[in-house]
Amino acid sequence: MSMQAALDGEYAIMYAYGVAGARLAAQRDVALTLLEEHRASRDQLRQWLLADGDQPGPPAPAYTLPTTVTADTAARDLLADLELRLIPLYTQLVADFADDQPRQRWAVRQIRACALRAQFWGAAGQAFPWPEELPTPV
Amino acid sequence: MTDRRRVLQAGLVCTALLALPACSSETAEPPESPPVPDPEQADELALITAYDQALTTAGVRSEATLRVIRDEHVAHLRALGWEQPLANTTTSAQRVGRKALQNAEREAARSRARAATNAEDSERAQILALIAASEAQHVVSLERP
Repeated sequence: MSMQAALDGEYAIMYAYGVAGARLAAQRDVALTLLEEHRASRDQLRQWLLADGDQPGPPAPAYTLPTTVTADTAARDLLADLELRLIPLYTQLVADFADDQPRQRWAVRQIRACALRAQFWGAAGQAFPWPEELPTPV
Repeated sequence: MTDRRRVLQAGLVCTALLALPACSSETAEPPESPPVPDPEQADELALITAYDQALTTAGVRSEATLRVIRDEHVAHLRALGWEQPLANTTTSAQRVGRKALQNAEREAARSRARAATNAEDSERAQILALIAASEAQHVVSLERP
């Protein structure tokens, strides 16, 4: 179930990269590289769902973004925000994969990658990288 | 037996009797040994000391960044269950530069990620994974002027 939640998160952020990427005044090449990282994560999650006998759900036909993206700053803020919102989903996977070290190691790396991408788009460093609107788990 | 010898013997017996409770009480309550940090806690304590050291020679521009990161390590330490007060162990002789801090953070992030996959329970694994991510962010923060 939480693998599907992470997959849904990856679908959503890939959509956001498409919208925000078009508004970036610079570093579009970086955005494309980071979008590729999300595609790889999506593919990994789909593969594991199938391996476990579950059918991966499809992306939603459309997504409502939390903010309107009209310019570079808003695009960066959106991507930073959405990268942080993926962290709770992967943190849940760290617990769910407790009996599968390779998968758990991957989930740990995903948290790190999301935190670094969020920081790249302008999020401040945190003792426990986490979206502002959610209570921290620590 | 003379009266004097009787008094002396009685005194020795009394002394022995008085000494016994004292001895048994000492063995029952040995002095508390100081708590020993586990490897993750020890690593966080070492990082805090390194930042304290770096702060003694930091310029105004660096100080804010270093202090924020130092406080985040204190938060990590507390989340890892270390409740003892922090001792200031800085010495004026040792300079700690940003490069050294970055290397220490890079190694800490790797070590915390490894520890997450070896953690005994899921909650600790999650905390260690988040700390690893935070320490990876520190490496980037230290690159900025």
